[in-house]
Amino acid sequence: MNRRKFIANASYTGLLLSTGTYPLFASPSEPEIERLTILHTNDVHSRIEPFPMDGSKNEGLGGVAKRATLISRIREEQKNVLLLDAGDIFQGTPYFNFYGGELELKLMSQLGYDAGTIGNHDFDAGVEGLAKQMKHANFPLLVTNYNFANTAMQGKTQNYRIFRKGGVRIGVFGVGIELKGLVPDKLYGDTQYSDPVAAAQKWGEILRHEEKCDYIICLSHLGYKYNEDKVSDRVLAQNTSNIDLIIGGHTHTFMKEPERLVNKDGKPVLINQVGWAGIVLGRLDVYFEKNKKGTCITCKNLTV
Amino acid sequence: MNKFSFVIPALILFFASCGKVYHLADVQGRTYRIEKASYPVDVRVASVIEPYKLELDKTMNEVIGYCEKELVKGKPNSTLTNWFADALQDEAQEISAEPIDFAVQNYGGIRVPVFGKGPVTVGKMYELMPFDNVMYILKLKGTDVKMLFDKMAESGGWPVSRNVSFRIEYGKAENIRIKGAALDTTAVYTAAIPDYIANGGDNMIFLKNLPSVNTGVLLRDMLIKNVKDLQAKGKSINPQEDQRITE
Repeated sequence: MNRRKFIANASYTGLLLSTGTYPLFASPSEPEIERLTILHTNDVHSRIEPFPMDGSKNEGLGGVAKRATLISRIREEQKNVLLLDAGDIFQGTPYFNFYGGELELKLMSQLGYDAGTIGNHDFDAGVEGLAKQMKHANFPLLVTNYNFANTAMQGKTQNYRIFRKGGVRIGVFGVGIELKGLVPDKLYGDTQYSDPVAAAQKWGEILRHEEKCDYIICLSHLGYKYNEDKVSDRVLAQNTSNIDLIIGGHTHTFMKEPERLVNKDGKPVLINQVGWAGIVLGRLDVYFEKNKKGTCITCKNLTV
Repeated sequence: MNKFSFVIPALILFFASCGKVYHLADVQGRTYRIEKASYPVDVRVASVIEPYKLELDKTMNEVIGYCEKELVKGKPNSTLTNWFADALQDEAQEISAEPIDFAVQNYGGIRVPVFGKGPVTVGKMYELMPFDNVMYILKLKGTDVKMLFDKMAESGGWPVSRNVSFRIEYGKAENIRIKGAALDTTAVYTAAIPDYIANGGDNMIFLKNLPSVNTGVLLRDMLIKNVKDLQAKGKSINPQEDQRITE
C-alpha cells in the first residue's frame, strides 16, 4: 500500500473514531488506526532563552517560550502526544550557574514533559545538586543503569513509566552513559553505573512480556555512534530485543530523519536525536493498527 | 437506564475487540527548527522566566573593569590567549606558596572568538568561560613539559603564559625556554592548568597521573578577580601580542 492511501485510510479511521461507534461497525477492510505523536528534545543545556544576537552561528535560535507555543499547537491537533527528553538538561548558560537547574525543571514541568533521563551534565552540581532540584520536576527521570543507593538521588528516579494513549500501552525506560572519566568522581559520588545493554535487555523484556507494552521507547544518553569501541545507541539497538525506538542524546547529533536498524531478533528499531540547545524539536508519528494477531493490513516493512 | 441495557453493549464491545492487538504499522518523522521569527513566545512561560532573568541580568550587567582594545583569539599567539594565560599564572601565584613556572590553557576552552573593547561585565566573563572548569597546580618533569608543548605545537599553539617561549618545527616544540632558561629535562616544573586537561582531556592523557593539587578555584572566578584587581589599581586590560610561540 502506498503512503497516500495509508494516510487516507488513517484519516478515514479518524472520522469513524469521532462517531464513537467504530468497533461494532467497522468492516475488516477498514482497520482501526491509532496515532501516537512523540515529541522530543535532548541536550537542551540550560538554553532557556534563544541564543543571543551576537553574530554567532546559532544567534536567535531556540528558546523555551517559543518551544512551548509549538508544543501547544501540536497538542491541539493531536490527541495522543508524548513529550520526552534524553538528558543534559543542565549546564551551558548562567541560568544553571546561578539557579542550579531549578528553572530548567520548572519550565519542563510547565511544558508538560512526560519523562526524561539523566545526562552526564545533570551531575554538574553534584548528585546532591540534582536531588535538590527534583522537587521542581512533576515528571519522572527514568534510568535503569544508575544505582543511586546511598546517594541523595536514592528513590528519586524510576526504571520505567507506562503511558496509555488511546488504548495503546507505551513503556518508556532510560539508560545513562558511563560516568567515570567523563564526570569528576566527586560529582557523581557513590552512583553505580552498570552495562546499559544488559539493563536495556532486562527492562525491555519486562515491559514487553510482563507489562504487555505495545510500544517500547528507550531514552538514552549514550550518544549516537563512536569510531572507537564504545557503547552507543547504534550498539544498543543492534544488541537488544524489544526496543522499538531509541530517543538519543549526548553527541549533539542533528539527525535529518530517524535511523532504522535491526535488533538482535531481526526486528526494526529506530534511533532519533535532534542536536542540542532546543534548536530543534523532534516529532515521530507512530501508527498502530488494531487487528487480530498475525493480521495487519496497513503494516509496512519498517526495516526498509 | 436499567442494568440490562448497559451489560449487553458492554458484552458486544468485549467480543468485538477480543483477541485484537496493536500492530506497529508505520512511523513518520519530521523536525521543527525554532528560528527567531518562527513561533510566538508563550506568555505564561515567559512570565515564569522573567523574575529569574531580571535577577540574573542584574548580576551579569555589573561592570568589573575596562578593556583597552578588542582582543582576538588566535594561534599560535594572540592578545586574548596571552591575557588569559597570564591571568592564570598570576592568579595561581597569588594562592600558591611555591613559584609557578608557567600556565597553559586549552585553546578550545576559551569560548569566544573576540573579546570586545570597553566596559567588562560579569556576563562577558561567562561568555568567555561558561563551564565550571577549575584551576589545578601540576608538577611536571622536564620530559613531561616537552610532551605537553609538543602536543600544543602539533595543534598550532595553545595559550601559554609569558614565562615560556618555543618555536614550532614540523609540529614539535623546539628551543623551549622557561623563565629565560633552556628547558631542563631533568628538572621538575610547577604549572597552573585547567582541570579539563589535567584530567587527560584533549588527548593530554599523560598528564592524568602526574602529581596535582585541585585549587577548587573556578577559572571564571579567577578571571573576574583578575579584572577587578586591575580596576582597583586603576588599570585596564591591555595585553600585547608578544611572540611566545613562533613558527
